Amino acid sequence: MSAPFLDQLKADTRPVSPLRPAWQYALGASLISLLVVALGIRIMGTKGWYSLDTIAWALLLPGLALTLFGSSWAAAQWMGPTGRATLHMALAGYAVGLGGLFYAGESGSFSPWLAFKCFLIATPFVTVTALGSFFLLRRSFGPRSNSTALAAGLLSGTVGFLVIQILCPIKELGHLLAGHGILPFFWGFLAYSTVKLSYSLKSRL
Amino acid sequence: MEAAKVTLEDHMRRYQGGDPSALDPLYRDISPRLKTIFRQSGQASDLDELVQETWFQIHRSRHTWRPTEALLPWIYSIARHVRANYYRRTSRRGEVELSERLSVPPTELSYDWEQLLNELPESQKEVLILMKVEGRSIEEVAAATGTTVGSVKQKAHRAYAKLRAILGGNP
Repeated sequence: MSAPFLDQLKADTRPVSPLRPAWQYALGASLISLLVVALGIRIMGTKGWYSLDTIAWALLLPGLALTLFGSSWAAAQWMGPTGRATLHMALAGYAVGLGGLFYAGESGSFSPWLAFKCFLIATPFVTVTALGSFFLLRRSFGPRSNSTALAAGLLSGTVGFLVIQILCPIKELGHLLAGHGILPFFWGFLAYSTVKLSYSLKSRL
Repeated sequence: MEAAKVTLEDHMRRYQGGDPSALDPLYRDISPRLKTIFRQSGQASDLDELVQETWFQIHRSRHTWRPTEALLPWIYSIARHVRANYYRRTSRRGEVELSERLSVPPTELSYDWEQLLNELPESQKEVLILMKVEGRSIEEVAAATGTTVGSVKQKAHRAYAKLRAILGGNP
């Protein structure tokens, strides 16, 4: 029992190295994110960090850690066809982080320009994280690349959140919620599109 | 002395290592299983095309199989993706609504397995095929379908209830 297309497959049986265990990719994605955040701190300082009190950071940090871990783990799992994952943990972490922002907020007047400035400042770091994620996760199972890109987008959005929160000392509630809370979704979309485009270009090469 | 049994996983390791001859035993063992799954899922007309597409996907994605995991759940997962793409491409599921079939008196129902399975939602049908036709364990079905053991049990339970309703009228 044979089929003509088998000859076609046999003509291309170059050796391949199997994927590493999922935890190694999750760890790699987390490390890339933390390195980008460390780079952000190195370049821009930690004015925002010092503007928040201990309770606000006690709420923000577990939320961000959960989002970072949840999205890294999901991306790593979705590299293979059988891995199971959801983004519930990452989204729950994001909600906790938003709670921290709400707690830290003070009354004041919202400035769209300052929010846009935050967006511009963090965007290069988000892009670096997205490209780093793609490089790490580039050998994903093709039909699942959309999910992998989604998780990488969430991971990069979290990095944008961290970078801007550590840098920006503004505590006005509108700025914190709109500028720091909602912008990660834009960054996430930007990163998702970058990773998706990279997969698409790779499949055409 | 009895020779050690060569498993599908052994062939797959050789295939990943670049040995073209490993493809033949894999094809002989796996293709009939794929045909069973696609046939029972109601895609009998495009069976050969689906099997071929699955093999191309297996070939392209062979690096995503980790030698520490069982091979068949990995194969079934790929077949699921191929089938999903097939649905998207053709948009002709051809499933008869359960409610329509339930309006037919039980005596007029055909108890053909293929027809009965087509009454079930895709996810329940898939679980039943893997468990009852392919003889996979609940754990293997969970791995192959990307869900949990609890979810597989629930889907199987609901599938049995629906089949009972169709056959005997008791939900």
